[in-house]
Amino acid sequence: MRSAPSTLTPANVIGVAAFAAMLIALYLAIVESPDERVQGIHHRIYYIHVPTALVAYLSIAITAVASGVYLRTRRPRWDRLAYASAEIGVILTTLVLVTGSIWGRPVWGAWWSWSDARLVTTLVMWLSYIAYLMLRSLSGRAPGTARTAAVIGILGFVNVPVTYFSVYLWTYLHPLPTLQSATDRPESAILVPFLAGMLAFILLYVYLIRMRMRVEEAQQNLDALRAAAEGQ
Amino acid sequence: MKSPSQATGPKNTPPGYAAQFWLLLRKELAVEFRSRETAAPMAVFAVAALIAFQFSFDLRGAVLTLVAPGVLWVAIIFASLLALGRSFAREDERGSLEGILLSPTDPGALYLAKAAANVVLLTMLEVVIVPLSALLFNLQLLQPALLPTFLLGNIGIAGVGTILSSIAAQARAREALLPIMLLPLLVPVIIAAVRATGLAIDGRPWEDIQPWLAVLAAYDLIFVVLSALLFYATVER
Repeated sequence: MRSAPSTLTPANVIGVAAFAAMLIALYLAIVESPDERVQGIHHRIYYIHVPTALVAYLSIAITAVASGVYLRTRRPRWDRLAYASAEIGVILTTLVLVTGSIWGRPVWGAWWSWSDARLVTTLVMWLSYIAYLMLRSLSGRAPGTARTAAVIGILGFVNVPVTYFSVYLWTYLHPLPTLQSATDRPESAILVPFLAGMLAFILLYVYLIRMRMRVEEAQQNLDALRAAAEGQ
Repeated sequence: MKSPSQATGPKNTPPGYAAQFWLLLRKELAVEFRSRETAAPMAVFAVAALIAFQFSFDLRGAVLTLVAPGVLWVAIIFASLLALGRSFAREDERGSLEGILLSPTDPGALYLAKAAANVVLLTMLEVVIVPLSALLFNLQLLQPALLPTFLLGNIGIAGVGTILSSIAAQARAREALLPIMLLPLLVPVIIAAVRATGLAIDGRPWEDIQPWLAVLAAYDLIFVVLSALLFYATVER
């Protein structure tokens, strides 16, 4: 398969599709969609922010599930999926926190709010999976790392709803100036750019995860070859 | 886990889950009481932290009742890192974990014994620093609602901290990794324990404190059961 390098590999097709979908989503969000009644121009970042957030949570969920499957089956493929998905999840969560702050500043009047359970939960999840990535990078390629990282991958995800509920209860029982987020009704003017954004980020996720898993597999093969060469 | 040789006589059958837990817990506590390498440093560290907080926040008057629950729990959680870090590092230094794992021990029982030993250490720490804080800061810390708060908080800290200690012990930079992994996971415990402690100090009725105790109990249940089930993956060799 390597003899004739084809440009029409599945990876390239997904990459081009992700790029095209991103352009379309941006066009729909910035040019096509009308200003929102209350927030004016500021709501446009929603079309990037919300899809990023949903795909970020999806990546972390995939890390947790793949970690569980890896512990059961011990097939390295699942560990690579968990690792790659955590990396992409952390990058997307960073984007979520940044775009959320950019939106919050003009609309809420603050970059950050400790009384919003979603914000705090996202921050805690972000830190948990940075810890996951640090465990992996600090343990190097020690044999047990895939197992111990899988445990963190699962615990960090289970903590997400528990944290959400705790922060919610904390806000609810301890009223602070609550910042109401605008609840837009999903009319088609909003739904179409939103769905385009979703499609763009899902394609981007699939493209990146395939790429990252291949790099990880190549790295593992290289390590195995090096270990074999040293053993001789 | 039964091998043919163990199945020959009743005397050779390995002890059951509860017996294993009890034996391992006694071993943990015996090691600690003979070496005294964890309990005393924890207490000294917590008192030193309280002094640092006193001069960082000028704990007087209205500030005191607002900040005291958080100060107390942060001191406890930071001190807990000393016990949790030692929990598996000690085994690692002596290569003693291999011996336990070679015996027909259930990893879940090992986890629960280690976690219970850490709960005992945390409780001992609080027996020292809670009355001391009441004395030093003139706080109403002798409230009955604080008993379940501290117990459930300890179970949460030790429950998650013990499995993370086992993970960190196998990595490089274990001293840095343990708090990095532990603190985000403990956010619900910090929220609930600090709130419950604050409400108890304010002398609020039982109904106000109860939701937070429920959060702590739910957290403990979820994470202790999950950790007991997943622990085997962290000690496989």
